[in-house]
Amino acid sequence: MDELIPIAGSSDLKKSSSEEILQLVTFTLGSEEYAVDILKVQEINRMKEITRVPNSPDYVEGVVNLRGKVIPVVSLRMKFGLPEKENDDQARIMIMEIVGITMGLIVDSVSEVLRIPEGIVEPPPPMATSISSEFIKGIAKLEDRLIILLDMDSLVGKESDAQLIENATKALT
Amino acid sequence: MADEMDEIINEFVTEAEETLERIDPLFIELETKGYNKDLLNEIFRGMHTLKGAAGFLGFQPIVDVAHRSESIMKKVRDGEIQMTTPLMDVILKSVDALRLLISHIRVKDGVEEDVSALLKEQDSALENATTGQAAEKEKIAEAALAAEVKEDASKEAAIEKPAPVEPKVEAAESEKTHAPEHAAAQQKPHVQTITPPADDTAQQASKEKDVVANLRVDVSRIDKVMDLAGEIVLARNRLLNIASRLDVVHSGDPLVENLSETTAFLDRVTSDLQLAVMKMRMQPIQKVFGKFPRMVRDLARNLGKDIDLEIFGEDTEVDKSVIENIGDPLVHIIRNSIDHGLEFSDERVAKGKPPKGRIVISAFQKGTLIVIEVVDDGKGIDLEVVKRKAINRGLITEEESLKMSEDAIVNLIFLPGFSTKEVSTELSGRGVGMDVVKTNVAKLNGYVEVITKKDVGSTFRISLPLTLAILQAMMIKVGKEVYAVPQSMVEETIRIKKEEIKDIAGQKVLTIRDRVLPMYDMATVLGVKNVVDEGRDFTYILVMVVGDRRFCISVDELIGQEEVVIKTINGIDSDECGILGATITGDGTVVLIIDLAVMARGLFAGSSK
Repeated sequence: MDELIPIAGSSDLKKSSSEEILQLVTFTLGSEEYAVDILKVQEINRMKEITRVPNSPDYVEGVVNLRGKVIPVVSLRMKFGLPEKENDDQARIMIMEIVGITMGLIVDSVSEVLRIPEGIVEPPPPMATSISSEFIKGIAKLEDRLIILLDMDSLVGKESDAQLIENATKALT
Repeated sequence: MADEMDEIINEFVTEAEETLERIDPLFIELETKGYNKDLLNEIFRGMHTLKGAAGFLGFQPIVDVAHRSESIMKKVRDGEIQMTTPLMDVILKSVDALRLLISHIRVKDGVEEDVSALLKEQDSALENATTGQAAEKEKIAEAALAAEVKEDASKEAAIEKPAPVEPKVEAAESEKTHAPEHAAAQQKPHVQTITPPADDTAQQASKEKDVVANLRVDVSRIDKVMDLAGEIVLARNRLLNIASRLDVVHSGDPLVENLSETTAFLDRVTSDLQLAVMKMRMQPIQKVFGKFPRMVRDLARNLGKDIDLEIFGEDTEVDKSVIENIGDPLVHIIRNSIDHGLEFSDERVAKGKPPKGRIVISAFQKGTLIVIEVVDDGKGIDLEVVKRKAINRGLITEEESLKMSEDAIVNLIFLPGFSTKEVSTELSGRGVGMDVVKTNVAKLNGYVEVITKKDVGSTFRISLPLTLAILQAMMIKVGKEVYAVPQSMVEETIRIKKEEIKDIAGQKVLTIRDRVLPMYDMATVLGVKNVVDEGRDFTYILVMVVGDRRFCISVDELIGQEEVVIKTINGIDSDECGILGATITGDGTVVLIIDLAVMARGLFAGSSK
């Protein structure tokens, strides 16, 4: 792992007794803050050299060498249909396992690890965010900010990507 | 204890499956050759070993079926009854039943097949064959068993003492204390059956050697070694690279010379290691071919066609993954040849061909490729019918069909949902089939070609790389991107002047030694951006041969030849992207390996896509 992120602990909110606590990793894309379940995240890397894959969907940035394994890297900006942006030194590759496939996701920056009670997560409002609601699991309302919780499995699980999984499983078996 | 039992059962299943696999083709050989004592003995021994082992483990249905089959074989061997087709059918049915029973044991689904009907069938078949002696049937069967046991025992006496254990096999359950000896006793005859018949002393010697010479190893362990060998190859490449660079800077330095010498040695050893590991995974293709005689016989009988099957090169060794994946495609091709290709005898005679149809299956090594061919002398593929069918099914348009080459039309049969026979048969007309051939072969990085001539026959040729893990690749540069191209498909590399490239009706072409070949630009094909035209007046050309297609690809730079380890990329549709996989070079960067077969398909668009 290139960098260690200090666990923020329960700094944001006091643990309410009976509720489930969610542990999340938060990151930014543009001006908005997103979060994924910490257990999904294997590691967070600085940008490294990415080999472009010809004729691949445009959100597939390419492939990288992860300690001898070759894994695909997806630009979350492109996947969500956000405007393109040059990756600067804040950009990170988050390595996650999504429906059995290890892949890297490029985000603008990684912020922190957050613990929040499940109770403050609300279902996604239909039109409130800049990304399609199919990827959104819910919205966490904190005192001064909103965090969009992503459903990572849906990221790969839809239409054209179903093929992707199929091929991956074929390759696996 | 439970684990131990599991292990014993697994061992039994593996051996039983191997036994059946071995004796299955013998039946067919027996049917064609007629009475042959050696063959009968071999089958007999197989059945006997199986029965013994099953009895010890208490798999009664297997014992019953095997016992009756054994009795029939015994009588045939001793010349008491004739081997007739109905008798053979029953025996083959028994073999199938045994296979089914064993598969249930393997998956531990606890399903109990009802074999009573089959047992009755076996009994009545034997009865019919031995009419006249029907009354004595039971006695003879028993006597036969006893006699056989004695014979077997005397044979084995020289080898092992616990021979008298054999007759008690069926009562083994009550003899738990003897269990270990039994297990040993069951194993030994199995080894013995593999060794060719020889006199007792020789057999003993070779048997002992066999026990030492063969090890059953978990495939995952071999694969692990294979992976590690792959990593060593990468490290070696990197070392060679460093050594040669050092040599340039500090030539003459004794330390550097030492390093060069050592890396050269490492180079040799690594190559040998790679080969040795590869060989560990190699198995004779007999494992796949073995089931075809039976299959062809059954199909021919069902369809009422008369077919001769010839098999060559069954000891050609191929990678384990090839053994696992090539079976289905070959079955489809052979079924197709029998069902659609070969004509009925009267039809053949009318055409002036011999009444018996002929199918030749062969395997051989050609350079770094393994070639498997299925040749039939049937009616060939009717291109017009194929074309019409493809149009009817909306696979191609009328317009497209006019522009298509013969080769392209033939390849239409590989499209999903294509079936040419008007009436579907249960054998090959299910709409699946030939597309399976293509996908499975592509999975093995190979390709299929079809050569067909009306009324002369068809040849299906499958070409596969020798190994799947390591590839001889040509490293090329396009713009700033580096790619690897499988060396086996690069016929030659040349440097040409740009003015040599001609344009014919929008297609760039190049004349190489009086042959006009289509030329494509790699940068365009791969969608490489930011290619700077340096104003060079020359370019590099790779002449590619994919199947029987030949074409040129222009690249910016040739880096050189390298041995690369193929890594699959999960999560990328490699077929869509036209890549075979990736490899990691000495400096840790990822280089993609281009799948030329897919690329060629894309370039000759309209032909098969």
